[in-house]
Amino acid sequence: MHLGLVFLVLIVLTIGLSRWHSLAGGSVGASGQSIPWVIVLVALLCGGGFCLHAVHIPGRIAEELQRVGGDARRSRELRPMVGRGGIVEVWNTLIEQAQPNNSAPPGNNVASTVDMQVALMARAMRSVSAGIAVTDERFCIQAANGPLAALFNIEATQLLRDRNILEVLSELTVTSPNPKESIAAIERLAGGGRAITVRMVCGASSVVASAAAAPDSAGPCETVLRISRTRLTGRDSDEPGYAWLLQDITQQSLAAEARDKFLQTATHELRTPLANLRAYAEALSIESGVSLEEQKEFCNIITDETLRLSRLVDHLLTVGQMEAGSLVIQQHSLDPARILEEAIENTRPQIIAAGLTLDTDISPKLRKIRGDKDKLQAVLVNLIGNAGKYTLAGGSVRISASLRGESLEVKVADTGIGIGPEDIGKVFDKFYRVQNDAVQNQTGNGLGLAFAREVARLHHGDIVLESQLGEGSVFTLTLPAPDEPTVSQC
Amino acid sequence: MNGAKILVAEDDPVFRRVIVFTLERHGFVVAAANNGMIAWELAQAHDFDGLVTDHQMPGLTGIELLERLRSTSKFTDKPIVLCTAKGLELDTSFLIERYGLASVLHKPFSPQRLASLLLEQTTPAGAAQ
Repeated sequence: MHLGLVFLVLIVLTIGLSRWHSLAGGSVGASGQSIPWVIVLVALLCGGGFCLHAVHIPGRIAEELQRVGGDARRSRELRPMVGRGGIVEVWNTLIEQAQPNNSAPPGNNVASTVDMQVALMARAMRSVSAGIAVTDERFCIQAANGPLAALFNIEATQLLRDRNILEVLSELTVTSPNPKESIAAIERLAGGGRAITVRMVCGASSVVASAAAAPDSAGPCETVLRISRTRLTGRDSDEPGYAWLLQDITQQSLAAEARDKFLQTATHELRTPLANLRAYAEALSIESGVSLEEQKEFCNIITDETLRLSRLVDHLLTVGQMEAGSLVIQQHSLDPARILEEAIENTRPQIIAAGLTLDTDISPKLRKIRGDKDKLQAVLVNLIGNAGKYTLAGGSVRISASLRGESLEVKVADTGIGIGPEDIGKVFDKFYRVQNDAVQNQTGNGLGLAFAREVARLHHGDIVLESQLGEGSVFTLTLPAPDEPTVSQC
Repeated sequence: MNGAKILVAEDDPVFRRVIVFTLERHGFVVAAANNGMIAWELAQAHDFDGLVTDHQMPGLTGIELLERLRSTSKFTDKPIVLCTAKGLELDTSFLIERYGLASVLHKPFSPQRLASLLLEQTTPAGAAQ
């Protein structure tokens, strides 16, 4: 541009000079003297034209670069050039490489790799189970993934665009179990908090289902959400903003609640026998004139409570292993009749002392089973012991074992107080104890049946309970006993 | 002998036995209940000079029993001791203030201490024997 102006001035000057020269020199031979001026003029025009052509391409390149402001990420806005010559070709090749949308020349796949990665990341964003969003500094949503829209019960992510994420969250708290607490937590996020945990009613987090398709399965449910925000990193010239992560931690929070409850119950159960030990020891040592009979009774109580405590410690350890999934079951070939006999011998004195009759009916044709002798025996002692504990004097306990198909079936039946239908499902829960005034003097820690069922299941078997209040209970333990003639060792 | 009537609500039979034993040896007349509901019924039917209650009981918990008793005229100013197998998670000062408790005893505690506490609370000032 500037170059063109310079040439224009030169041409005007030359013409002016030639006119002035012809006027000063008179009109004689004017035509002969004007020829060199014409040649100079033509030379100037040609030189000017050539120079303009030569700077045209670098000028266009400079213009393009100035337009995108030297920002590498705006490179897709660069325009290719029409023309020939080395510079044009180099420029066009450079643009092709820098723009992922253009097909790259063979042998250079930089652009297609980037393209693929972007597509994969987009797929990953849609597939993860967490809600992800990007907002500007004022928390307005700029982009969000599908799972986030599902959490917010909104059909499409586009509907979230430009909405304030905290406002959307606040709307969800209306139906939350504790709206005030949730709102306070969300305000902490607005204030500067990085992460909060909030309980609210959300849509299904995994699948965006249309309301007509599966109204029950994808309906709103109470969810514990972990919401965190992170400032976007980048250059100084980048728009500031935040990346948001919304995770459904309902399952983890339920597990934590269960663990806390377990620990609380466990400490309570430990303190109870401890309190008894201290109280009876104190009564024996401080009180004077305690009768010999009472002294003996108190000593027996101390012994019993010590046993109760040590049983509890054993059970707690086992339950701890059960919780951690690290309960180890030995795999030995076992004779079920022998285990049953030993368990019966262990519990017989207790049954007799309770004034009960004990019947056994063990089939002589039992097959060998594979399993853990000590744990199975503990399960049987537990089942028979329970039958003895919860049957009133004069009743009976009956133990039978038989082969049923590919399974060994052991039944422990009593004519005891029975268990009501509302408790049948719960007796296998840890620390659950049925409240029944008829046997309120019986001590127990509510772990025996939880342990028994876990052991049965680890043997690929199970324990089921049939019972009627006031008539008695039947616990049936089934264990796999496949017909394996090769198993011979014991 | 003191002769004050004490109601004991405790669901663990072994512990109930030793509390009743110790209190009786200190001259109290003791009535025992194995859950909160029975204690509530006894408290309505009879007059007591004090209550010793467990915290976690079936039927009616210790706290529920306290709520009921403190809202009846018969028990508004009687000394109450709460026994608990809970630990530090229990807000003891709050409970003492809210229900006007004589004390909160954490298991395992000394029954002798419970007895002397009740003796202090049930003996009228200046009439100590």
